[in-house]
Amino acid sequence: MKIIYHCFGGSHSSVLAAAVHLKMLNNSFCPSVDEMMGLPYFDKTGTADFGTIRYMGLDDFGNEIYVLGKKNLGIRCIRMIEEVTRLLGVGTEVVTVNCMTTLNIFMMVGGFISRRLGFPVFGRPILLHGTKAAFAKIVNLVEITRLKTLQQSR
Amino acid sequence: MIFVDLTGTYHALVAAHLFIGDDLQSDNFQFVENFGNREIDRRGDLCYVGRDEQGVRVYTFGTGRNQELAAGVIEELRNIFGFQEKDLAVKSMCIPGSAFIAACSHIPSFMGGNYLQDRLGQNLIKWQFERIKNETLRFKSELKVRTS
Repeated sequence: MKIIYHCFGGSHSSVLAAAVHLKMLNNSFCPSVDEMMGLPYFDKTGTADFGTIRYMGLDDFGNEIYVLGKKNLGIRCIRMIEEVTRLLGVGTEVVTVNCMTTLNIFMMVGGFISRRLGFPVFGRPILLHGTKAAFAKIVNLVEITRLKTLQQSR
Repeated sequence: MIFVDLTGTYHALVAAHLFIGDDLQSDNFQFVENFGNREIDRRGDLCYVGRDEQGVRVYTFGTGRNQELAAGVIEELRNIFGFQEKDLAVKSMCIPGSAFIAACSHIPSFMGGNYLQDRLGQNLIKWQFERIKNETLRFKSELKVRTS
């Protein structure tokens, strides 16, 4: 099964969720700045990465984990993925997870300043503060996803 | 084959019919099935149009915004599942004016949104019909070369 975590830019909440899913981060503790910055794609994507489904790794159940920056496609993106995979005959092999629900204002503002305006020096501290605040929500989302995929694969 | 545009029931639908070889002209395109059907776009469904002479199934999809990005996501999906362009091709319509039609879908019908969208869609496509036709036929011949 393929699990696609998606958010606006595909560089913060979705990457963090994918990292928690893949156990790159310990879900019991809030990760340090170095741990977060050490993640692949975390706060490192550009405009060319929008719409690119990037591979993050294989989880312990053999599911492939991906991240996607969907910009402002919103829930239409989920519908589109469902429809296209159904058309390809692989509709049951993909799970999409919307990470926008875990965002807070600090992540939005910090992410905007860092990625869109290109001032990571100013944006990152705000972003990292927001990420720490949202971490528990992200872990919860990942755990729900793991349970869902476990049920589906049975 | 999926034609992607901001709305799936105007430019994309006309292009899809031209792709499958239907005899559309600038004075009869508005009579095709699902033309201006806001419900399909609102639900985010693929709109099945028909099959071309090779048996290729043709659909349209209305993305609401960012159709280029949506087309890219579909191509990425196709690739990660190991399919190729001959299995699923995507064409993002790049005809100016579809943004105005999509914007009209946000106007409630009691304020004339339906009427406005229909009038605008019909007049715009009538005016741009040759361009849509040329672009679609060019794409079709390019696709034939790429996938043969």
